[in-house]
Amino acid sequence: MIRNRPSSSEPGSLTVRDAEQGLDPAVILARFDGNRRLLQELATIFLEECPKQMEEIREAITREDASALRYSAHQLRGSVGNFGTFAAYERARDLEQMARTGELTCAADVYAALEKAILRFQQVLSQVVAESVAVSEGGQTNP
Amino acid sequence: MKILVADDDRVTRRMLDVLLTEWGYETAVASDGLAAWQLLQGSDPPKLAILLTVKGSREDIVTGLQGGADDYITKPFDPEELQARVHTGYRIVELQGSLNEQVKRLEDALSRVRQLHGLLPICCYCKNIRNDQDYWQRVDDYIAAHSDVRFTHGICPSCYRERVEPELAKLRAAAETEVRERMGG
Repeated sequence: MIRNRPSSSEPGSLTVRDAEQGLDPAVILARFDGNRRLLQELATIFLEECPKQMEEIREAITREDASALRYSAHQLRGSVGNFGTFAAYERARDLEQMARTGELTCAADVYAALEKAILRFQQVLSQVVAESVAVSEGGQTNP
Repeated sequence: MKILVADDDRVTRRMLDVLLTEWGYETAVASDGLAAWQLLQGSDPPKLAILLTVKGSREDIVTGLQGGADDYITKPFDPEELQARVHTGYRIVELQGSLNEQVKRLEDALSRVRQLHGLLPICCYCKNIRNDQDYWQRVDDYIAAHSDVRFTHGICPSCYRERVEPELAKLRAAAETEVRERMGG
C-alpha cells in the first residue's frame, strides 16, 4: 500500500527558511499529535493527488479561467493546509485571491513560485513517508 | 451521533474521517455537494452542521451560517479545536432533542386543559351562561364542560338562612297543622 518513494533530500538538507515556516517532518508530525500512521496515509494521498491539482491550476491559468483557478487553488490550499501553512499554502492562497479579483496578469509568475514551493513540500512529505516506512519496518507491524 | 464529512479534497476527507472515527463518532463521507445532498436526504440525516472554511472567506461563512450551519471552523483546523467544537455541537443537539420532547409533552398537556378566558355572556338574574352554541347553560355545567373542574355540592350560610330555613319552617308548620287536624282539634 505504501510506496517507498526515493527521497532526493536528506533530513540535514532542510534550509533555515523551511524550518522557519515549519516545513520540517518533526513539526508536521507534531501537528498530527505524533500519529505517524495517519500522517503517512495522508501524505501518500497528497502525493497522489497533488500532480492532478497542479495540472488543473496550470490549465486554468492558461485558459485564463478565473473561476476554475479559484476552485483549484482553493482546493490545493485546503489540502496543503492539513499539514501546515507553508510557502505552498501561501502561494495557493495568492492565486486564489487573484482569481477572486479576476486579475490574472501575474498568475503565471505566482504559479512558478507555487511549483517551486510544492516541489519542496513534496520532497519533505516523501521523506515523511519514507521515515514512517522505516519506523514501521523497524519495529511495529502495521496491518 | 453520525457526522457527515463533505469535502472535495481527498486528504481533508480522509483526515476528518479518521479523526472523527477515533473520537467515537460515526461518519458518512461525501466528495461533492450532490453526494452530500443525497446523504442528507437519507433516513437518519445529520442534525449538526459545522462549516470548515479556509481563513479569509468571510462571505462563505456568512452564507453558510445563514444557510443553516450551526458553527464554523477555519482551515487549516486544529484537531483539538475541532474535537471540542464537535463535542459542543453534540451537546446542543442532545439539549435540543430533550427540549423538543418537553415541548411536545407540554403541548399534549395543554391540549387536554380547555382554557377559560375572554368575555362570557352571563344572565344578571339567574347567572346562566350563554355558550358558543347560543344555548343558556347553568354556570356550574358551563365551567365543568370547559375545564377539568369538578363540583361538590353544599349550601352556603346565607342561602341556608334565605332558602333552607324558610323551607324547614314551612315543613314544620305543615306537620304541626297535620297533627292538630288528626287530633281533631
